[in-house]
Amino acid sequence: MKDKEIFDILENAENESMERLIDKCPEIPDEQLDRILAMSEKKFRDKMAAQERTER
Amino acid sequence: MTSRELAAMMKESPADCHRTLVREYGRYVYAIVYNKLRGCGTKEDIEECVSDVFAALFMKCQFDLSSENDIKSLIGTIAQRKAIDSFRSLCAKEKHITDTDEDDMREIVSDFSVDERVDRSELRRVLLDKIDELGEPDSTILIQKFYYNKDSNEIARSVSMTAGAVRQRCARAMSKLRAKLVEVGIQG
Repeated sequence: MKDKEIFDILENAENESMERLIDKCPEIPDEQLDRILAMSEKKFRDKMAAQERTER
Repeated sequence: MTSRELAAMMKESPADCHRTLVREYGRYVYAIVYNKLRGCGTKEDIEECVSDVFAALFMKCQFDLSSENDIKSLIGTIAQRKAIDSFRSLCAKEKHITDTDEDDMREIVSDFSVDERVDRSELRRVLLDKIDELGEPDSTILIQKFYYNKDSNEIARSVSMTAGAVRQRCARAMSKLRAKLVEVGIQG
């Protein structure tokens, strides 16, 4: 088995295993976080607008 | 962060509150989403899903935080749900749907040549235990290299070593890990 394949077993982790993987997660670069924030804000504004349309 | 602190921040400035949430919990959400999508999604799919999680969280902040005491747990739950939705949609798109989890597990268990009774969750725990036994920085190097797919330069920055030293430690640590897995009946 290739080195990377051994680590595929870690997918779909639950509770304790997930926490251990979170601890080892690399830092996310600022520019990536900024991109995620911009995408999230846009989706949020779209959801808000959709909600306002239904409430009218 | 408590729901009271979050509500106060939202009142002061929703935009600043959103930014703080992404800065504080971005890595946490990313790790949860990555765990579910690493086998079927691209980097862009993962970012898309992470942003879905935060958009849903912003909606929650906008309308109802009163019943939420533990913000981290709320974020974790939203992340899990969104990651599962995204996984299903990506699998359907790529026609990767591979029957049930049980079938999946049988295949993996057989790949690892372990007793079929050992379930996947136990296998994960054993693997993580064996990786932890290697100690730092080796355990972080292996997880970041083979699970998070980071290159030696990226790992070097996070463990304050040179890329060459990371490559060297990685090769040695992987051999040690394989030996440890063999000892417990997992043929890597």
